[in-house]
Amino acid sequence: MSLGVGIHDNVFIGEASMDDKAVILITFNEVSKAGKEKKSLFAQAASSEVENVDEGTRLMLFPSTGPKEDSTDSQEKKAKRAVADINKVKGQCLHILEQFYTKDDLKDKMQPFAGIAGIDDNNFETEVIKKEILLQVQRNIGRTFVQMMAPFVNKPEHAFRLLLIRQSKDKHFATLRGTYLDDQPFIEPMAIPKEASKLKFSPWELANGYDSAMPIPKADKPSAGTGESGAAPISAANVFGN
Amino acid sequence: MSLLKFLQSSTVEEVVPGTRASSGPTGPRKQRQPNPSIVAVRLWRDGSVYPSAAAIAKFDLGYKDAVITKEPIPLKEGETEQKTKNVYDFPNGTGNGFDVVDSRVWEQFKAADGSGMLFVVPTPKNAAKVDLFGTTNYNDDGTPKSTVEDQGAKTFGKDVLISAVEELYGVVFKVDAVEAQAAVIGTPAADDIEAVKSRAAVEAVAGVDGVEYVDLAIFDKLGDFDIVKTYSKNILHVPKRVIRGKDAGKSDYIRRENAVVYGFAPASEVLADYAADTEEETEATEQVVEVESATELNGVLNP
Repeated sequence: MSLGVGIHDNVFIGEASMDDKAVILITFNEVSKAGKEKKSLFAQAASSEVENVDEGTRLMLFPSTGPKEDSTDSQEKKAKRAVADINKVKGQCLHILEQFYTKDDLKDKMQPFAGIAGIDDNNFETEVIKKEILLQVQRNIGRTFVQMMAPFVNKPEHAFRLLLIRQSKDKHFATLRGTYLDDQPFIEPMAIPKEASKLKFSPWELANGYDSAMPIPKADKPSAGTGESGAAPISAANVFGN
Repeated sequence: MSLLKFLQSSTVEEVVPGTRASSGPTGPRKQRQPNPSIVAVRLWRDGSVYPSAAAIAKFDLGYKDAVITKEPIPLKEGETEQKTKNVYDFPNGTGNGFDVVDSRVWEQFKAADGSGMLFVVPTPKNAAKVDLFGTTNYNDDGTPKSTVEDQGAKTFGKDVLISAVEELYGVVFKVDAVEAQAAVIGTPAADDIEAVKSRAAVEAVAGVDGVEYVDLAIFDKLGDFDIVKTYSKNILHVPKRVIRGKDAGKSDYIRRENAVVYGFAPASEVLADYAADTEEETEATEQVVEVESATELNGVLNP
């Protein structure tokens, strides 16, 4: 069973990788299920016992997609949003790496714009919102993260307490918090006693339901057919009532 | 004594004279601090803590001169008067204070039987939540208002260290008996009548016969057990307590990097050649005591 929204003790990082679309993949496994030999599919099916195979919980950090084509935002606003997206992923990766490295060790290691020529203060706002630039930035962050995590993955002895928040009001799946991580961390070593833990849902998250794993019922979800006015789509139930 | 049991290490050499009562922290400067040659601090029964000269030198505990610049504070809506704040820069480094760690609340080192000991971690003074020798006030010219030899800050000693030392090491500090006193409601001054100041009730406190101070040594090894090597880490989460606000008293922690951990225990237990004071200081103290004796004073003044 995967880890849901909430605070989880005794998890370790089973995998840290990046796919060909520059999505950074981080798998968290539970220490209690570590060490159990993974059986083949046939062996699992043929077994006379219930097989609980822990594949872990895979979280994905996506690259920024940049502004929508029909966006009417100012250049500055688009650039600020792209930078916020970059800083979010960079911050999440650094926050995890800080569990293993000192700030001195990490200094200057994360170079989001390495190898990207031609960007400077004068053209930054126009360049940073381009898809190919954002993709390369994500690759740079991901590559550094995966390389630095390599000595510590799949090691149950590095056990952590992990806080996962809800993805959004509409999506009940778990994800990593993305901002204010210095004051509101999402990961800490298990050596820290529970009573001293800093892992808490923020007042904003509590007020907006980001501590809840409850799925939104389908009827409550805004559907694809909803117009910009928010009017309900035409259906027998909507026209004639229940 | 549970130190050895806790560290699971070899023998500790038995020593010599234990703590020695003295005239107290208001006496001559030398008496406030431990013997200058031992790496230690002296914890007095009122909570004040004074480092030895050797500890100051080894861990760079002194308060350094600062370069003070005034930075404007952004005006809030409606404000017209520009206020400034002092920003402190330390061209010669900040020096260090100490984090003090009680192993009973340190998950990695907690012993199942509840025994334990104290540790110290030298930490830059400009880090947050430094327990001992962390801060002082500064004069306008950037010189510290007190030195670490004189400061004797009491808060941490009184609130945390005294009880920890008593519980872990069996030290008993002297407590003066206090009689109960009723509250006094103040009255303002009037014609021919002096004002009376309000005073809260005072609960009675039973006196305790104990020591005036204890010297706590700071050491890297205990017998063959290498404390520095065993416990020092590149990333250490040091247990703390929230001091202020609605969460005051709650458990907390702070991250320290490149932390070097030392043992922190009564010098009489861990130093083979421990002596509370040097011979010269001992003589000086005895002279003072003798002179201050009423009979002797009379004899000196009126030979």
